[in-house]
Amino acid sequence: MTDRVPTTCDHCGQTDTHPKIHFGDGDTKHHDCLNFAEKTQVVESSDVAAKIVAACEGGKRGEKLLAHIESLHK
Amino acid sequence: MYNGAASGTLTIATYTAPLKVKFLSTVSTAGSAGTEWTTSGGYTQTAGGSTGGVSLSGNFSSAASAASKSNTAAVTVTNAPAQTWIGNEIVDSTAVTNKRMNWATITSKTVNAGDTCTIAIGSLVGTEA
Repeated sequence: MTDRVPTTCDHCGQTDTHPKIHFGDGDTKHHDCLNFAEKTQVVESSDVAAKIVAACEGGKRGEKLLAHIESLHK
Repeated sequence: MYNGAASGTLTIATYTAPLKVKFLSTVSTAGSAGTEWTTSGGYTQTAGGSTGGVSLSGNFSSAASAASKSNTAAVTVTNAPAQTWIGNEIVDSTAVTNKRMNWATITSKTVNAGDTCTIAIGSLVGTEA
């Protein structure tokens, strides 16, 4: 995944360029590394975010997850 | 709220709903607004006007307590543009020029295109005068 800055997941510790979720003044995590409270807030705040979390938990990563995110906004 | 009218008069400022949140790549101060994210991906820039930003409509549903209110639902941007996220402003939807109300600075985050950005419940706090 070109032109992306590597970022570190504050849950699993992995550094990569996969799409992540950023909590303002909080953690940055992969969409499938959220704790229960974080996941609840995110999925209840946005239907699209809920689909992204579900896709990541279902195994989509990296370029495939990014393509899925972009498809949800067309 | 005093609105700069002639001496001896008091003009109440009016705000146009909905209130909304701007995402910023540079810090806001009392004197000047920070740099707002450009329109890209899942984010639409307010450009200081009546559209764009993330609406807070229905997001401050609890009664005020101790003279302050905070958001009761998370505020989320999906498919965010590639930007630095360093803060937010709450503005109204006045056409041409938003009225600025509050701003917050966070620890700077590097956001890649397609990332999700969420302001957690209780993180946006407004204090009633």
